[in-house]
Amino acid sequence: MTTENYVFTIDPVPMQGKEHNKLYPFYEALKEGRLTTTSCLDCAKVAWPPRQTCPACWSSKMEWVDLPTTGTIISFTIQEAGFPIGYSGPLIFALIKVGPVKFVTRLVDTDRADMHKGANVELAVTRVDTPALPTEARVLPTFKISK
Amino acid sequence: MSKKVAVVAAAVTKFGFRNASYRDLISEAGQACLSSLEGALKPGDIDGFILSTVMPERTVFQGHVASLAEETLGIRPDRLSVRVEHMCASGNVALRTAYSAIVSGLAEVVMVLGVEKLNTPVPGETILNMGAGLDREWESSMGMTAPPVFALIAQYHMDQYGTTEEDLARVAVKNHTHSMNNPNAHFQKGATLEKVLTSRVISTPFKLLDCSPVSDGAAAIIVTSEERAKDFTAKPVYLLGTGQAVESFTLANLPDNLSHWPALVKAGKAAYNMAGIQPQDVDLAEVHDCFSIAELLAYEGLGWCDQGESAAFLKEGRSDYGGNVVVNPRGGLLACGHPLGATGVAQIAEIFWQLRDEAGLRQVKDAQIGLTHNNSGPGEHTVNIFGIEN
Repeated sequence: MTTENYVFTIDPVPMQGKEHNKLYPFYEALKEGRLTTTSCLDCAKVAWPPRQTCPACWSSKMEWVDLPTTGTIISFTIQEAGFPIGYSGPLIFALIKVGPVKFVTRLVDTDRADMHKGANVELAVTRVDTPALPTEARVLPTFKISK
Repeated sequence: MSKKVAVVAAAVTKFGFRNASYRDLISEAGQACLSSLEGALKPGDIDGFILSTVMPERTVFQGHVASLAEETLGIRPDRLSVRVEHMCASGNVALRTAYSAIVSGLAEVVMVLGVEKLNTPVPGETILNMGAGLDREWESSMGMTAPPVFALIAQYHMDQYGTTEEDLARVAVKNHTHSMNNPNAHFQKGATLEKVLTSRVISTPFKLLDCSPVSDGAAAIIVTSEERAKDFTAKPVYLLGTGQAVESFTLANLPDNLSHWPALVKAGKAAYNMAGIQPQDVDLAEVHDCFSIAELLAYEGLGWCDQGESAAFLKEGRSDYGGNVVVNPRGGLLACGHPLGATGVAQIAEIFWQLRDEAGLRQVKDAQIGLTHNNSGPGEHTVNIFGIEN
C-alpha cells in the first residue's frame, strides 16, 4: 500500500453522479464544457454555488442557467509550498468575476508571468484521475489565462 | 439564576509537534486546570462539560469525543455534556455555549476543554485534512487550503491600501517576539524583519512566518456563575460581553471588498455593547492571527483604527506593549501554533492570567479589560470581552 492509497481512503473530491448528488446537472454540464448554476424562478437571484433553496427568498423553485465560461481576476496567489497530498506546486489560485458571481478557482496551463489583476480567464475543465469508484468520472471547474 | 459568568481556572499545554495522543492532550490540560484550584474543585463538582474540537474523526479516527474526554478526566456531568465544532472559532464559541448554559440555569460549573491532534505521520495528509474546514465541494476540492484563502485577502488589501509585504511581516515579528516569554508556544526563537521576509514563500504574498504552524495542543478553563465564582477563587475573571456573526461560508460569497470584514464589525459591536465599553477601552487582546493579514484586519474590524490604517497602527507600536492595546501577548497563532479547537480556549486562558496579574514576563501593566477574537474564515467572527469587575 502506498502512502497516497493510505491517505485517499477519504476522498477530497465530491461525489458528482446522479446516484450521489442532487446537483449532478452542474457536473454533467461541466463535462460538456459549460459552467452552470441555479437561478430562482421566483426572485431571479442567480446564486453561486448552485442551490436547492434560494438564499434570497427561500424558494425551492430553481432552474439551471449558464454562466459565462470567461471571467476576470479579482485577486490571485501562487502557492509554492504546503500542498495537500496528491498535489504538487506551484498551484495558482484566484478569485474571479464570472458574470454575476464571484468564483474561486485554480488556474491550469497558465504561466505565472501572465497572472495579473484584471486578466481574462476562461474555463479549462480538469478531469480527476483518481476516481473514487471505478465507474465515476469526475471533473473540476478550473480555469486558464486567455491568450 | 445568574446573569453573568466568570472564568475561575485555566490551563494550557505545550503547543507544537507533540509526542502525545489526542487523549494524552486532554489529560494534560484537564488535569492541570483542575489541580490549579488546589483542591477547591473536585471532578464531581463539575456538572457541565463542553469539548471544543474540530476534526478528530479525521485526524485520530475518533468521534463521540466529549464523552471520551469526560471519562478520561473522571468527570461525570449530570447537567450538560456537549461537543462544540465551529472550525477555528470553536474555543470562543464554546465559551458562549457555556455562558448560555449557565445563565439559563442548565448547568452551573462547566469545564470547557479545547483539544486538537492535527499532526499525522504524513504531512500532506495533515494539510489535506485542514481542507475539510473549507467548502469541500466547491472550493477545497481544487486543492485550496487556508493559506491561499488568506493570501487572496492579503493581496486585495495590498492592492487597495498599499499595504506591503514588510507591513505583513511586522505582525510576525511582534508575535514571535512576544512568544519568547511563553514556554507553551510552538516557537520561542523570536524573529526579525529580515528573517520573516527571507523565509520561504508559502503562497504569495505569504512567507512561512506569515502563516501559523500546524500544531497539536489542548487548553482548559472552568466557567461558573458569578454567585459561585468566589467559592473557587478570590480573583474571578468575568465575561462582560460576547458577539458572533456569520455572513458567508464560501470565499466566493465574501463582500466584493475582500479586505473589509462586516461580520467582524458586527461581532465586535455586539460584544462592546453588551460589555458597555468602547474599542479604545480594551487593554489587551488575543486576536486570530492565523495569517499575518488577519491581525491587521482585526485592528480595523474591531475599531482600533480606520480601514486601511492597520499597517501604520502596527508600525507606530500602537498594538504592542506601551501602545493603545497590546495584541497577542502570548505570541498569537503565528508563534503559539493553531491546534484548532484549543486555540480559543488558550486565548481565554491568557486573558485570565493577564487580568489576574499572573502573566509573568508577558504581563500587560494594569490590564483591566481583555478581548478574545477568532475568525473561522474571513466571513465569520466571534468576540468575547473580559474584565475583573463584574
